[in-house]
Amino acid sequence: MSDSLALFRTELRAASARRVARLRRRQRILAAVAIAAVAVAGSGLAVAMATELFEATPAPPEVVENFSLYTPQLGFDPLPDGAELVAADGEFRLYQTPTRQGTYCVTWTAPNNPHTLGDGGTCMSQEVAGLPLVASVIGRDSGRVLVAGRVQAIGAAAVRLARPDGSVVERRLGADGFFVAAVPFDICERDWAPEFVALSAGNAELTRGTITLVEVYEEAKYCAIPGSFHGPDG
Amino acid sequence: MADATDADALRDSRRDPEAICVLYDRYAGRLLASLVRTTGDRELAFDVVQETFARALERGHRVRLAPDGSAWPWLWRVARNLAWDASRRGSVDRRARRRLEVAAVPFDGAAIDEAIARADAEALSASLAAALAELPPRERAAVNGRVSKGLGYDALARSLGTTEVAARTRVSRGLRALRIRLSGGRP
Repeated sequence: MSDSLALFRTELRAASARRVARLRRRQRILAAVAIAAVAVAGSGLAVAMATELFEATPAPPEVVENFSLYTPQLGFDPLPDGAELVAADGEFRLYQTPTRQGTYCVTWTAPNNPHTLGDGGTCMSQEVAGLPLVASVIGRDSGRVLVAGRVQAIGAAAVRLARPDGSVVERRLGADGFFVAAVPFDICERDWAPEFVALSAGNAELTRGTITLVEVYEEAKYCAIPGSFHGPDG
Repeated sequence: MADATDADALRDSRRDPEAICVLYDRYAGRLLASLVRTTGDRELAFDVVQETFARALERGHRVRLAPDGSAWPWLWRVARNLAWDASRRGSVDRRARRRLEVAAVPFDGAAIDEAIARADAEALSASLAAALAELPPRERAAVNGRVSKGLGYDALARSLGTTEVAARTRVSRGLRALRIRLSGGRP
């Protein structure tokens, strides 16, 4: 192997060693968090949240193809080959793929709705991609709306929000802080701007913010659903 | 470790620092040679090779493998995109290397040329072996004896149990068939 290639091989190996060490440290921290969760909360749920991490897996071909349909004139260039499953709620699946701009795009699939693909997904701006907490209604299926988003707070393991009737919805975070929740909801009945709370594995609150998901305009008999992830109101 | 599949190497890169080097040793030269052929720019090609393997390390088991388990299509696609992107931006994206804190490696043109030549020779050797295997047995034995073992025609004739004229004819036919096969035709 030539000098330059051999030198880079050495650098690559060193980077790999640093990465392995970092991953091991993270695993040790997660294990410690899990132990602490047992000690403090005594909650089986908390243990599950800390240890059963959702691991991203490559997206199926139809999802990769969907991201490749994105219109680059909208300002983003998705990299479809990076598409991966990042969160799931039952049979609802949330996928993300990176963009050349350093942000990401999302799309979703549902078993009873073959029309969720075909639009290339929704891509996020730099500003949105950098926010610690974002969410949106990204679709509907069989009397449910699909709420999805991302929490980028260190140690976050779950997200909690309330439905308009006051009942609480809580979901574990998937890979890279993404989440998806299929929630029963009559979408045009009333406004819905729940407070999202990001929780640690030990159920401690890490960050919170009110995010408008649905706005109903009664006179116009129209309800607005901001379909792209966005941050807290105000 | 050198026998590890691409999938093994990528999966093991989460716990074994040497694992990613299996992939690097397997594909770096080929990637470099292919990029130089595509871009005509050795320095850019070497830059792209580095970023591509940094990305492979970052993605690990999430690299999409071909149905035959090869990481090559993914590596080539990423490298081609990086090269194409660099032609528009004027420089190769280095974000994965920055994130991994990989130090810059100096460009050594002569050494890169040597690596490309080796990769080309390996590719040619594979093609040659395949073309040789397709020759009729008598011609294959004649070409092997004359070219690989360097036998003179008298010794070759003895080893084949034939006359020197017949040995020359077999070698000549075999070489002609090889030339045609290696240039993409059928004899």
